[in-house]
Amino acid sequence: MFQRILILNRGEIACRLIQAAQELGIATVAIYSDADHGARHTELADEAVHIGASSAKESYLNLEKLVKIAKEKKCDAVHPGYGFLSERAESAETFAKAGITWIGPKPESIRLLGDKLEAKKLLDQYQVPTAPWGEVKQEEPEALKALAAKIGYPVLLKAASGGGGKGMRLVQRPELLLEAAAAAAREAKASFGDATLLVEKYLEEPRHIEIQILGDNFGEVIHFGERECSLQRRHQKVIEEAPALHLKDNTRSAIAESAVRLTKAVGYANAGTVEFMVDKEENFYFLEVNSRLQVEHSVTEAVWGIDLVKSQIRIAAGAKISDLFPNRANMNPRGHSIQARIYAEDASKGFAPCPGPLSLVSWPTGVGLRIDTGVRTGSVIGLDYDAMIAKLTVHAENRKDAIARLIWALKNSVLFGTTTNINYLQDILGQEKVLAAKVHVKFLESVMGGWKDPVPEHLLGLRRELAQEASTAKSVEKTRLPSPWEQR
Amino acid sequence: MKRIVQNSKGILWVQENGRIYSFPAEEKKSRSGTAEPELVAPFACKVRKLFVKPGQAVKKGDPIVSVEAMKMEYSYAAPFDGVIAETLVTEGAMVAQAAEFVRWEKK
Repeated sequence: MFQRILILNRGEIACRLIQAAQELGIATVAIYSDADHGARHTELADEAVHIGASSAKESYLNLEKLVKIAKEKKCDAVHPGYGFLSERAESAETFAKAGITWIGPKPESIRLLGDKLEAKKLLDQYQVPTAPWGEVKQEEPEALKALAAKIGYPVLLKAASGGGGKGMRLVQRPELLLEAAAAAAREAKASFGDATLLVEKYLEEPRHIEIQILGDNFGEVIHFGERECSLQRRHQKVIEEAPALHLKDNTRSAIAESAVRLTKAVGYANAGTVEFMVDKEENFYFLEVNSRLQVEHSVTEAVWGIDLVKSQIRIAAGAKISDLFPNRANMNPRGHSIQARIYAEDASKGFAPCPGPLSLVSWPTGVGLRIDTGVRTGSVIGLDYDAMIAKLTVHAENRKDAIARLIWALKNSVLFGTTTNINYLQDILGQEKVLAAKVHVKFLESVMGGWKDPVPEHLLGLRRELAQEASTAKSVEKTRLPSPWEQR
Repeated sequence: MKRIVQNSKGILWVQENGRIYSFPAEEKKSRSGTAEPELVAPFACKVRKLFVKPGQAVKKGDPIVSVEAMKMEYSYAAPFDGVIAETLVTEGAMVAQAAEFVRWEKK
């Protein structure tokens, strides 16, 4: 087993990684930029090293410096977490060359799966479905009609050599095809000098379903079921859950099996996620592989009763899947888990980021509740990193209870000093269609698009009383006391 | 009813029935209505690109500036037709919340 792990990250995920390492009896070295001086992860770790200025390039992405620190501090392994260096093959390679174990997949797999065309060849070879598509010249109407019919309506026409929406047309029915293709080809020709069109299957309101996989260094790969991550804003996940609802058992296992087939084929080791789009008929199409630990790994941990980070560390140290999970064949997910991401952003103003100091942070404790965070009262949300400041994960016997529990947890979380999406999250969870699990990736945009959250009139009318209440500070002081992370 | 209140630098933060709101502790006097609509930084950010120069005439909707914060990029357009009198930020610079990007020529 490793002696000392360098944690190549910050915030909640650094704290999560440190806990796992320490539980395994491994020492940890944290790193921090100027902006993260005194941050929670630096205090949790056995040791913390300053790496540079606040910008990620000069700190958490400074590979050369990080390798130097790992050597100086005699770390025998590094954990990248998610984001920053995690999916860069050259980072994994550089550490390996320095004789330091990268707790994550091999650089070859990161590179191979990151290359869209190479990955596509593999997908065909291992029968992993992709959304059907084909290439055609607009001047060949018969070929075009045949291709569109083969793919199945609705189809999306795209300029083969373009991007940015130019030459793009959605075609719902066959009789509209030729006219749309002519217009698309004109735009494509004008914008890119090439009228070749791509015809693609258009997925209406698809769901985002992803499979958690875990491989070892001996060629074994297993999965820990799926997560549903369809509630997204600006193409970023907001609420994730496991298991996914309304999915036939054979679809569920077919998706998981294709994820295992693909990752096994490339000799994938350590934790990873294979993402899919699933349409209304439960056809599923490969989206991408995330060669790292995911933000939402917590919901999988909850329902399967496992610790993915500890498994990652053990596998990197040479453990076999068959020894870690000898009983995998008899393991099943239990109950339901949901995670909400708390972002410092204003959901009523296009999700504009809200940097600034947190004047009060207080989390609830209670049954079936997990809080991952790197911030506390006094922390300053900076501009250099992601706006996600915490994750609230609940686990309950069923989905309905899990939603009620998550709402309870959100209502009992206090975050003052900068605007967060905490009210927005409560309103999402109160939506009838969310309760019924009838969601898709465009749900938040279409249903919660114009979300507003004005200050209630009665509060504005109470300004004087509230200011008085605040100055006696009885309510705030009471809330301030219990936090063990309080900075004094 | 459970209520938690904090006054942080003149802003009241209130959590009531599980929802959090913030607003100035003192009611602002409404400003005289003569000022032009402003184009200001909605939050502290880094200026990525400035699309205009002093003296340049712009139409409503023309891009003025794009900024970056927390790994995301945001663009701001001219709120009306007008002429740029002065640019108050430079590309690559960090600006504070409510900082003006440009000043307009008086009509």
